Amino acid sequence: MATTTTTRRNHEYDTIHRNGPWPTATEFATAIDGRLEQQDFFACYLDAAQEVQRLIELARSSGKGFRAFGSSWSLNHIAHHRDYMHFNRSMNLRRALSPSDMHTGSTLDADNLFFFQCGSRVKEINNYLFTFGKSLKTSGASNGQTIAGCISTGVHGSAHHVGSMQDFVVGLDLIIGPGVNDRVYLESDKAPAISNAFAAKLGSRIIRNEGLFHAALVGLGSFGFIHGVVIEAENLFLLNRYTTTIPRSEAMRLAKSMDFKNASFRIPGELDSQGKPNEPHHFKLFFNPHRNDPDLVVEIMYKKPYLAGYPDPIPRVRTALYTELLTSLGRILGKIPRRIPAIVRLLEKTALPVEGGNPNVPVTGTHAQIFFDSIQQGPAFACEVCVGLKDAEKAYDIMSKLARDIGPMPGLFAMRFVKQSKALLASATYPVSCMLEINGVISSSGKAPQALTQFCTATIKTLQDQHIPFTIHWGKTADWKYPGLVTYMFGHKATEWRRYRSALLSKEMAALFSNRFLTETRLDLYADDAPAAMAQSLA
Amino acid sequence: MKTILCFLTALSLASCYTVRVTNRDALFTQKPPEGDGFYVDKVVHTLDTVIKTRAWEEFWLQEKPCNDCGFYSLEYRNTLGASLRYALSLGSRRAIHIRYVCATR
Repeated sequence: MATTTTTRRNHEYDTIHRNGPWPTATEFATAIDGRLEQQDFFACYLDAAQEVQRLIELARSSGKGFRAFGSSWSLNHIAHHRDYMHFNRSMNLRRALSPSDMHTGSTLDADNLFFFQCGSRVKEINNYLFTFGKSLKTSGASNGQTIAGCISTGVHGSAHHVGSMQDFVVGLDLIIGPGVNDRVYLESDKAPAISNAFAAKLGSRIIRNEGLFHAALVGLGSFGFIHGVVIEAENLFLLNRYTTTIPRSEAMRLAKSMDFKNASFRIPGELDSQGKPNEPHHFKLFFNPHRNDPDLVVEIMYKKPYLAGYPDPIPRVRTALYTELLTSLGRILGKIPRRIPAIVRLLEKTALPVEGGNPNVPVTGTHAQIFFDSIQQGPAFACEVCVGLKDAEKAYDIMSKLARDIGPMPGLFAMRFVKQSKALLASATYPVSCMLEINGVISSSGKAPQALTQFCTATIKTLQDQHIPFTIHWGKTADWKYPGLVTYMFGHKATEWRRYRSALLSKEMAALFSNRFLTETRLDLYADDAPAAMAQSLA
Repeated sequence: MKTILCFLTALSLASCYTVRVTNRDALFTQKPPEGDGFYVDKVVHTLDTVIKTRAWEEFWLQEKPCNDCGFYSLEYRNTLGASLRYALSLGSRRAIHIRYVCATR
């Protein structure tokens, strides 16, 4: 049987980057039954589901809230609950799907479909997929998050022809209450993946409803307990990663247009038959807000077919100072605001992907190798707004000025670019979204904490004053209490999201799966008039 | 006196070191974040013991500490105290301070 232990009582929950702490009454951790897993995958999965339902019932009967969490990589309180928190990292079953598991009308290739339980980390998914010659389509910059955490908050990379992590998910298995009918498998009615029989083996009733599925994808941990996901992988591929500098004007032109065919820079080996630059898979720009550099560092990657025998890329991927040292320096220097530009220069040395040597010689590796273990440790913040390409430069000018004027902020800016997501409440909401982020170290001394709060508030206010449409990454640092924020960002989509949630969850369960983050963003409001049809299967 | 102080300082600086080896492709056993640094989210085990120096070459952990998954990381720390113990025991006793994290599948 799956076993649950009460790991901590009346403690303070914190994220890995120390963005809390916040008080929590009880923290549970569930581990799957390893012996049962060896005997029967589905029996083990069902057993775990029943254990989670037992905990949900415990919360329900005592009038408590319940929230799952994994690696705690979000840089805010989205994963926190003051009542019951559930650490699901040890729930990491995985399975490759076979053609017999598929829906007869599915156009997906069974070879590319894999089932993962909620607590599976990106790194273990990468390792598992590698054994099948497969790869994730995209991920964040590192690999420590759990799959459920990634999709719930919309983790993304910088592949502008690929979406965010939730976009390769083709099915979600949710636990929405303690009853036998409260295990549901959601997928699109327009692109079904699995058979009814497979859903039955999971112990779930299937709901094929694209609107509901897309609403639940970026569900902020509030559409029930994500127990498992079916993802679509692709054949293993290689990435050639280059880092170089290009003139700021050209970088901004590319940021606004994504017009790489007419780019002014040339990388030998990455040109088409007409000598024009190839279309990159990944493009990322770096900025020091405290310097108006004429050239900007860019990280650019090209996708190639997988061929074994390339040099081990990990040593070059990890060429950085031990970041703990930097964090300590940041804390000390953070006491003196005028030294912050010096901290940022240090950040440049560690955070920027300078390979050294010839910038035309790439680092080559699989997706899993290029986006490897994080070296960032210690207190950190990351504020990220998403804007349309046309507003990218203006938004940077606004935010970088705020970063200089308030504090100043000990951080570096980056721009990443992501294709529009299919998820209803994804931050990547524009055809190609520019993810403008500032990452830095947190200092608890002096006025630094107030400066970060002021910066977050001023960013929202100034972008709104300038009438720039934007969204904010759900897992990042922001003034989430800012009045009307979610309505400004998502408009009717936020209402629709609440209605889908209200149609799927009972009022009691909606309250149970809500938390302070949801209340502050007003997404906890229950739509009593949401028609039941919104949560019914359409196929 | 100055010479003794210099000697002790040099000894303490030379004797305090930590070596950590990490299995880069492995996954570590994870816990909710607590504390700071490398072990912030890792289940860490500590072994503090004193052994006879003769046993050092054959020293190993008595029981299989990480089941079948092996180590994710292994850290050996030498401190001034350990060096003094070694010196005062005329080289017959060695303090062992090991921290390790198990790998998981």
